[in-house]
Amino acid sequence: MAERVAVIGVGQTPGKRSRKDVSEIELVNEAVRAALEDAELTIKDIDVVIEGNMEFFEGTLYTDQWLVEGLGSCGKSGLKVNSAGDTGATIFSTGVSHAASGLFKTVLIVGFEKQDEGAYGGVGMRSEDSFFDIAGGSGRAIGSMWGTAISVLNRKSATEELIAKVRVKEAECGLRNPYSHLKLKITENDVLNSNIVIWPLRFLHICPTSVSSCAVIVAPEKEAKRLTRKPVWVKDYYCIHSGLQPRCGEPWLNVGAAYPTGPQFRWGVEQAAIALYKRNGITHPRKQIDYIESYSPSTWHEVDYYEALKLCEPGEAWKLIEEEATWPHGDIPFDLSGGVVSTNAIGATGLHRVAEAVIQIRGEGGERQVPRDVNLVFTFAQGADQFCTAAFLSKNL
Amino acid sequence: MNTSTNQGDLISVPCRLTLTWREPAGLFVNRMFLAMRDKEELWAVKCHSCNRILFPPEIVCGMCKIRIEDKEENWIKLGNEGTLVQFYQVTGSREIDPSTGWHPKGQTFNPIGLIRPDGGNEWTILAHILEETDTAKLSLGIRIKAVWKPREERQGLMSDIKFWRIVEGQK
Repeated sequence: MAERVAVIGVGQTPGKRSRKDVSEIELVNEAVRAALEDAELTIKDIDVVIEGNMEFFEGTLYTDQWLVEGLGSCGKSGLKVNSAGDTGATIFSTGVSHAASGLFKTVLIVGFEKQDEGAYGGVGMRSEDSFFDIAGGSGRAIGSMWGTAISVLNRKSATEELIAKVRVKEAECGLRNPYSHLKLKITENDVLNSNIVIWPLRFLHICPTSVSSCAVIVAPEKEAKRLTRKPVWVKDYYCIHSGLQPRCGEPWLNVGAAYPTGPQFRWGVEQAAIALYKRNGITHPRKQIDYIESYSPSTWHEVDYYEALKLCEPGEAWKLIEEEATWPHGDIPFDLSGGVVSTNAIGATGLHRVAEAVIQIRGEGGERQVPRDVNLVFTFAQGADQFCTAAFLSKNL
Repeated sequence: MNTSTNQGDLISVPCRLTLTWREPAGLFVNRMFLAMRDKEELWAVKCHSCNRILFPPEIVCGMCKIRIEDKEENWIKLGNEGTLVQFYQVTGSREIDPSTGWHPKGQTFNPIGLIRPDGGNEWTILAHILEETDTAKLSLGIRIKAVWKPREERQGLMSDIKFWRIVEGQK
């Protein structure tokens, strides 16, 4: 990067199923104000506003225009980005690129989703292929989750019982996070007995439909050092498109279950990790990385990513689970926020990962804080459009 | 004119959008669909750089990023029979559509098969409906064949194949 960049402020709204009390403008403004307060800045100090969501999930096009008051973006530079589930991570990398360019001093990045407004169904259908739609609705996100689940099971990476154990870990972490949407007190038996959606994918394995907004402020090195005493540095980031799967009908999301590149998302996440590890001298990720905050839309994804991120050998994710290595007390804590299965406000979700990484590095995680020093965090998101954006955040330059 | 609803003191407005559009199939997929409609044939294309056989046929190989020319040697005729490489069945609480509340609980859905038609390679996967609804009778690797609709019902669409039927007499 031309200029080294730091995160100097984060703000998020608590995840909810519904926020009938606020408009979209008011929702994003809550996160914007929280981030500005965290950075000890006012909106007048901001040069650029980057905004993103799953446009049309609220039935709204041009969200950058409608939300201008909430974002504080009038008269400022900026962009609107939509890259499906990756949106929150894409706007982060877009904001970091702006800061790294040397052209701007402060960049405000805002993601949101207000899914209680309910236009998702129609948009979900339209995101399928007009010519190859066969199953009429069973693809979409659910199909992708099934593809990952059956792949994990067939590779013998984990059993259904071990997946239940991970799901309980995720739920317990969600209970400790005041921003988590789901506050589930569940047992492994609850998970194992929850409704089958598409075997082996069960209802409790799946992320919820959440309302939330998240805002992050980044600045180039000189400004960051001037403006804050607690910068968290963006060590590196990598964005990759992994759209190699054929448009084989509505279950195109599922085809990965039988495709050489593996289930949807996995190939992109793996390639991004390989590239970032290589550029940053990471040869033993489980030892060198202190914390991972992932975009795992189902419990099966979290387990699949243990292997994609090289935390264990292929087919040995079960070992990590049995050892509880990814638990708060383990050696590679993973998604102590409760993860995406606890809160999924899509356009904010990727940015929530960044915010949680920053909170962990600052040691401000409260009950969900990693119980040891956190210097290097790996975070990533991916989406149905098959973008994956991953980043290393660090305490030190 | 929309009517606002007042739930307690929180006001919201119901909105509804109905959209119609037409999408052209494009050069390669058009040719593929015409062969399905008129001849009960499935055609793919081959990238001669990486040897991937692509169904549906695309004009560019996404991996090699090279144009696949519309020449006869690039078109591969796939069989009407194939191998079942993966399948799934939506069994219960399928996704609820929050805009309609649609939730077809209790319905039996035909399984969806990921099918490798004969003549394809590991990169050739076709997703389609399986006739057999009892998944106990399905297993990975079994042979299945396309059951086509009668000519007068075929429109040049994936649904010209009614479903895929288990080939009888296999071990």
